[in-house]
Amino acid sequence: MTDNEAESIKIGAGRLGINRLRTVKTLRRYLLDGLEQHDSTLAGLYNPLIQTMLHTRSDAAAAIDERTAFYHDLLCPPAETAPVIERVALLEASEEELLRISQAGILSLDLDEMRAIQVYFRQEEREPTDGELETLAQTWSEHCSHKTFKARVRYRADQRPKTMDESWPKPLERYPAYQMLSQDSEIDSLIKTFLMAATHQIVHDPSFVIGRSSFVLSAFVDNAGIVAFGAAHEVSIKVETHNHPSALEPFGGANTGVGGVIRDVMGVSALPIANTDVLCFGPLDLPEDAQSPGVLHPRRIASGVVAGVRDYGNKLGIPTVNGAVLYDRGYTANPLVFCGTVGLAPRGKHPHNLQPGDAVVVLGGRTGRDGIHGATFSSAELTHTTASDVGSAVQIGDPITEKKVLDVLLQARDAGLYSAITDCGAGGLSSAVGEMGEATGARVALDDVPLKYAGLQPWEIWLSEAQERMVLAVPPANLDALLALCASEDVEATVIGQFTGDGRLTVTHGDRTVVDLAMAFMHKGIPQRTLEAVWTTDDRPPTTDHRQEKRQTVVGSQSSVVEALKALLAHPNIASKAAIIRTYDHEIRGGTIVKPLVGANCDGPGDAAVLQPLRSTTLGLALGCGINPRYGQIDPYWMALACVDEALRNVVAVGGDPRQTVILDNFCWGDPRQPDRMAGLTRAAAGCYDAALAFGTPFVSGKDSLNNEYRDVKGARTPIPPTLLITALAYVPDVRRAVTMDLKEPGNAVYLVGETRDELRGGHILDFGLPISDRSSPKSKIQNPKSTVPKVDLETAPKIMTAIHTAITAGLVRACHDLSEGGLGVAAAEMAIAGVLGLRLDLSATPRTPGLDDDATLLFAESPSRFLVELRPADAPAFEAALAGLPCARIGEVTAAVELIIGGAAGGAALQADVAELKMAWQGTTVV
Amino acid sequence: MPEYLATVRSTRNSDAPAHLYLLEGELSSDDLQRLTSELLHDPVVQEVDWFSLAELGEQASSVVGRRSRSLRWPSSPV
Repeated sequence: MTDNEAESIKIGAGRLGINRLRTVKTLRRYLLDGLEQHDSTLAGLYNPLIQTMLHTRSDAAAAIDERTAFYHDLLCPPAETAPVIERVALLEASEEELLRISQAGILSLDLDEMRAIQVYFRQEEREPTDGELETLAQTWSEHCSHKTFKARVRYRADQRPKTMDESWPKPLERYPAYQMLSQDSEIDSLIKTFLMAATHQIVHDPSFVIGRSSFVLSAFVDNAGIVAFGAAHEVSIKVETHNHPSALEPFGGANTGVGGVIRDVMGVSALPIANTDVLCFGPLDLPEDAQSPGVLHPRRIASGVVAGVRDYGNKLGIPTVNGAVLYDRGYTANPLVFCGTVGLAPRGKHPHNLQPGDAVVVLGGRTGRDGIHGATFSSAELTHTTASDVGSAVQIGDPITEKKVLDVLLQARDAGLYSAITDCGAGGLSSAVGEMGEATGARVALDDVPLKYAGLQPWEIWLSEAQERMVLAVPPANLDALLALCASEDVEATVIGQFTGDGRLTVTHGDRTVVDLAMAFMHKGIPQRTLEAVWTTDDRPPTTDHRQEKRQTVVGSQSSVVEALKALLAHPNIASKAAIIRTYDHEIRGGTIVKPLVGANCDGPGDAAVLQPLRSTTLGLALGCGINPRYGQIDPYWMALACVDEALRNVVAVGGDPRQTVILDNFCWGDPRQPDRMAGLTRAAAGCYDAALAFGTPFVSGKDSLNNEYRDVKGARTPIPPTLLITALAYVPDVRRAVTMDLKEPGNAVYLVGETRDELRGGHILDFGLPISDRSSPKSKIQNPKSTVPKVDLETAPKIMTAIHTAITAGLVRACHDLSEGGLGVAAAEMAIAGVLGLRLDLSATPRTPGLDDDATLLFAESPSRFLVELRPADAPAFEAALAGLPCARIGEVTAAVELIIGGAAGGAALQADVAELKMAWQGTTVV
Repeated sequence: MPEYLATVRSTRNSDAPAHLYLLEGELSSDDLQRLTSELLHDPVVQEVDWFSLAELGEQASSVVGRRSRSLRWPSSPV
């Protein structure tokens, strides 16, 4: 489909003065010894969706003929085909036929939607064209219209007795959405009721105590959320997912995921300055025989995805500064690839002034048959036949072309050459032109669209998701200047139509009409879905990966807290991700103040990145994230609170201001038509509302990726774990005050801030069984019905965040690390590893719920809103004053001896370990 | 339209994966030499040979299993 290297060679040849090179194809030749001609291993060496392979014996005379024929085929241009515009027989179709048409065309439209289309064309008194059906399917796709989040939800609450009052003696008024879902409810749109409502209240309600109307400049409107930065700039941020494509073609899927979200930021006229990437894979040691048909092994997916992320960000010169990698068997068939980008622009330079008469200009890459049906394909579950059914949905990235497009756009922005801009992503020109022209109308001539090769049907040109393209609205007076600018930067730019004032989308090919639709119907005609949501509390422990049993054997038998800590440090979710991080360039642009790896040897796990976007000011940005699907398997409501809390902990730990923070939501879920999945999704959105209001952190952007399920040959469905990623972007008032998590100096005091509670459910320690130390209860907490999923105290947590920030701003904090996966034990070990220093801690001093004296719980519970803080002894009084009234206690000190020594809650030693050994465990896990 | 196959290999390990380039166009000998020497291979660590695709059988059979640092010209005029 697309051969970027070949295109580069043709350009290079031209620059050498060799202009008669017409076609180039690139190949790799591998000499393999020991394989038979038809060895099944050969099939695993390439991806037939994007590659073709010939395998021959090197010594066979007949092989020469095979190779010659193979090479000739590659050089043979695609056959010219006459453009065909088909009419689809819809007007008289029965309901069964409507559904068959939707399924056969990979339209992913349900019966109500097909009926609405049928009614529209009956009014038009004609059958729709293939291009019109495709346009509507794209516009109404889950990816483009978020119809699940806009649906009416009939929520049925758990009918069993409520336990919140018993287990959670906090003021219930802090949890309004939780209270709402304690009874049956009908919710008109999750996005309006919870996500946008929270932002609206925080940003616009004058009674809201924080109020920051001048801070948020754009939320849920543009391609990215936009906030003010200093007096003259603005910062944009967007996080997307590219899950289904990455399952089929990991490198290309992740590669174009990164490229796509960068274009989202370019689509708000900003310069991309940083990337963040969060990845979820199946276990890398998954037995080969546990793989489902049609599913790539997690090792292949992980290595391809990481390479794809690296390739795009590094080549484009954007640092990848933040991220996370998680592993769970639930992601084996459906990996998750979250790609985020932060942008910087002069304030107010992003235009929204499209006028009828402006030209529709497409610039950047050419259009090919790649990414067809990407938008609608993402609304379907994956099966063993997905690759063969919709392999054309895979996109191919070309970061060098995107860099050239970026260079042009920034100049065009500064010269005021365009009146509106958007990226050409999911849904291709159909989505880009359709959305830009919603208020005016647009006319496009497809024969003017530059193609990579011949043979595309008109609807394919219109729907292609070929990458590195942007669509601009250009006033006629500026057209020549824009085209000249593009020519000077070697960027192809073409006028393909005009924005009109007729309120219609008209697309032609030659003298024939491909699409003629009313914009109002396209954008407002989709019927609102009604979805059933039935919530039942599930007391089962969350699913853990297949290695649990083995680990229990290894670790449980040793009954050792030290061994448990080592096992936790080696857990794939916790272990060092340096092998991945170091492949990403996180330094380029020279503005990364706190990097992903920190400490004496630059190998400690930083909490969040700190950026200095402008050299002229020490005002900075902290970029962090929170994600914990293990809690989502118990209750997505508490997962959402924990994710917001974790994202805020991370940015606060490095110096971010929690009162000047915006957040983004990315929901990855199963099939929302299944009532249990929809109930979980509703609870997660409700949790987002309560958390955002309590912390005063508005959502500025979000995205959902649903239908992340695998349906096997027998029809059995496996959804991913309910997953919510919260990304936080915070102001850092002065980057010179930024803090890292590595221990700094022997003799310094160590404080634990935040309360430890009996909250083991969902915790990573449960993968191994609890260690039984001398002073621990011999009864495993797994069976303890009072041990709960971690819950955020929305009364206290915001105060803790603010107090920590106050202490950091005052210069009181030498090191700060949040407590997350693996709790206090892991956080302490990581700080010691990063600082190459020791710690002596005392569990008896930890702030905790009364009566909680179990060492293992105090060490490994993942209670939220906690920090481990190092400060000079002389600063202790000021620090304690800043934290007055909050759960906070001095629990130990930094030591020169590189050991982790932790005293038990009832006296004696709970743990004593050589930090070097802990480091070996932490760095010993294969993560890619 | 004349077609050519250029093969770029590591000078240190001829069994390492090789980069192959199929080129189509009315290219002169000088064009091919410049393309391969200035664009397609790094003479410090790689070696390259090429031939007309029409002569693949003859040329390839003489190349298989053999390392060569010399530039190989197509035997037919281009």
